[in-house]
Amino acid sequence: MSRRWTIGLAAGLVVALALVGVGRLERSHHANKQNDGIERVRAAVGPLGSPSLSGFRFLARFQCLVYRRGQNQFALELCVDRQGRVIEAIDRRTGTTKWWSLREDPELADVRVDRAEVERQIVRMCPVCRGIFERDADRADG
Amino acid sequence: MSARVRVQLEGALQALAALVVVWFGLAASNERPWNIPIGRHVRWLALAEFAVLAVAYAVVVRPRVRREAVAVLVAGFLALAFLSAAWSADGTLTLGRSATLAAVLVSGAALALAARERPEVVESVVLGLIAGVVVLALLGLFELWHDYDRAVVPATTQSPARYTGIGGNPNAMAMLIALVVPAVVWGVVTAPSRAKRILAIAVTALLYGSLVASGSRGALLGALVGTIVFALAAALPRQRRLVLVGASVAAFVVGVVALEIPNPAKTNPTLPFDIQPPPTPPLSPRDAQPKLPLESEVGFPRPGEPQFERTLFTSSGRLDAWRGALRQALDRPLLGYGFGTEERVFVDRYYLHYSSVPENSYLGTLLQLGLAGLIALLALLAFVAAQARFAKAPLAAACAGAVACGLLLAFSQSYLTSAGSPATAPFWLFALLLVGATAAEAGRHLGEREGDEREVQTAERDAEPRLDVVRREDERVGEQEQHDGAGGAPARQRER
Repeated sequence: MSRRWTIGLAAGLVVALALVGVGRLERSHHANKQNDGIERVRAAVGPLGSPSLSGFRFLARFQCLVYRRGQNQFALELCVDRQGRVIEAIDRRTGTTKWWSLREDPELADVRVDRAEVERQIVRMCPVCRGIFERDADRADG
Repeated sequence: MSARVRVQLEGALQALAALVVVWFGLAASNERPWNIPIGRHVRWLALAEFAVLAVAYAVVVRPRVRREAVAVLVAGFLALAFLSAAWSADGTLTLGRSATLAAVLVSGAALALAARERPEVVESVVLGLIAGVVVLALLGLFELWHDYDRAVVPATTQSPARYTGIGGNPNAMAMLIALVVPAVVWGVVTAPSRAKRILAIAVTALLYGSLVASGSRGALLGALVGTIVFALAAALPRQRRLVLVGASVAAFVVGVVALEIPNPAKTNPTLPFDIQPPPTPPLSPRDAQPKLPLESEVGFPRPGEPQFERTLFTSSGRLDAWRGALRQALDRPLLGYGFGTEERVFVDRYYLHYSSVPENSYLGTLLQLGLAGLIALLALLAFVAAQARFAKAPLAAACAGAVACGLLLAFSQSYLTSAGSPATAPFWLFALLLVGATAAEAGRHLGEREGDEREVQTAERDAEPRLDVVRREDERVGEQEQHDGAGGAPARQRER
């Protein structure tokens, strides 16, 4: 292999390593920013079963708890996956809606809640949801 | 042996080009079992076969390979795509999507190199692509006759009815058709016999009719731009060129008028369950989803707000989606979320936007690979587009037209980097065939420039001794003057 090729290959490797470093740094920086926002909403919500709990959402990949503030029935929202990770939080208290989301990368979601408590609260508002949770649990076990 | 193999490979490439278009179209169609269970697997096999044959063809043809700009640009973009698995939210998905795009780009690059030695291959592949699209358009007509409800998206209160043929949505096939329109017009213009010209005109009518009926505004505009670029780039007589441009504009105007004829429905239709299951009913009175759907939150109409109506100039929710995608992209601006993750990363929160992607290939690339990826893609596209100035031969001009159309469509559709989309492989094949088809002309141009530069260098070299003579003479005069100033006058006087 000529000297020119060796230098080219070495330069390519250095660039590739630099790109990987920057890419991973961006990923963790983004995750931190989203986790911070999620944590703020989580703190604003207080206890999951607080009297301000006004509704829920039942989606395939995650379920959400919705909280009222004043007249706003959808003011705060926490979306939790099956592992209890809060992968999305929404703040609608001001005129503009703010989202923090790690839907695309749930592994990086740091904020966790008690999944059993989330299911309990949803079943309290939606008795038919108990069957769906049980079926999901059976599938996960089976 | 090689001549025979070469011709056999050209035939096989033509057939496989048609097959790739058909299988990718079927995989994105509404036809079971061809779409999901079978088509999605078979299309990758067809693409892999095409890639293997294209590389084999390049090996058999043995083009002279120098340091090729197009190869460097393709390799750079693909390297970044593969590398992004290291920071992707889903590394396996990224590697898979990178591999499929690599198959498309490597096929195109191999054919571009081979086309330098064998320009005939460009025509073979282009005809194969047209044949594939014609098969899909005919299947669409068959579907219209056989199952109207599947072939036509019914009118809603927002949008008039739109023909989709076998396409999963009206834009998918329309995009593919728009890409081949310039090549079909090339067929009309250069047909060697009357029968072939009539056939080419019939194909144009079939494709353009399907395009207009689809109601896809972007595809209609793309077809116009592509045809105009073809007419302007090709070395055609001035009068024929004017006729072509005039006819394209007239066809476009007719298309636009036709788009405006159907009206939205007074009430929304009830679709058969197997075409679109009804939305899940509320699970309880406290279910928030029916009151404020998460996927439609932005722009969700409040009670009493007027209903949105799709017109020629409305954006169908794309502007909101683009703004959202840009905001997401700016969270990881340099290298993005990883190649192939556009659908996973983009969150559709927009009432008027019915798609899991932002429907803009440039924004989609920014989302996947950040600024680095967007710059790499734009560099490759700019290189390809720059070859259009050498596209004097009508077939090369047709490829240039397809590229112009594809670049325009990329503003309203996310498809350039998603190999599974029916229009992706044809676009890149047209783009890289353009590079191959114009290589000779570009080489001549470069040769002329190098020749000019050599002439200038020779002239300078020839001029140098004379300059030296002048310089030496100046020095001699200067020395003489110095000598005179230092009391040399007597010597001059002596000379006198």
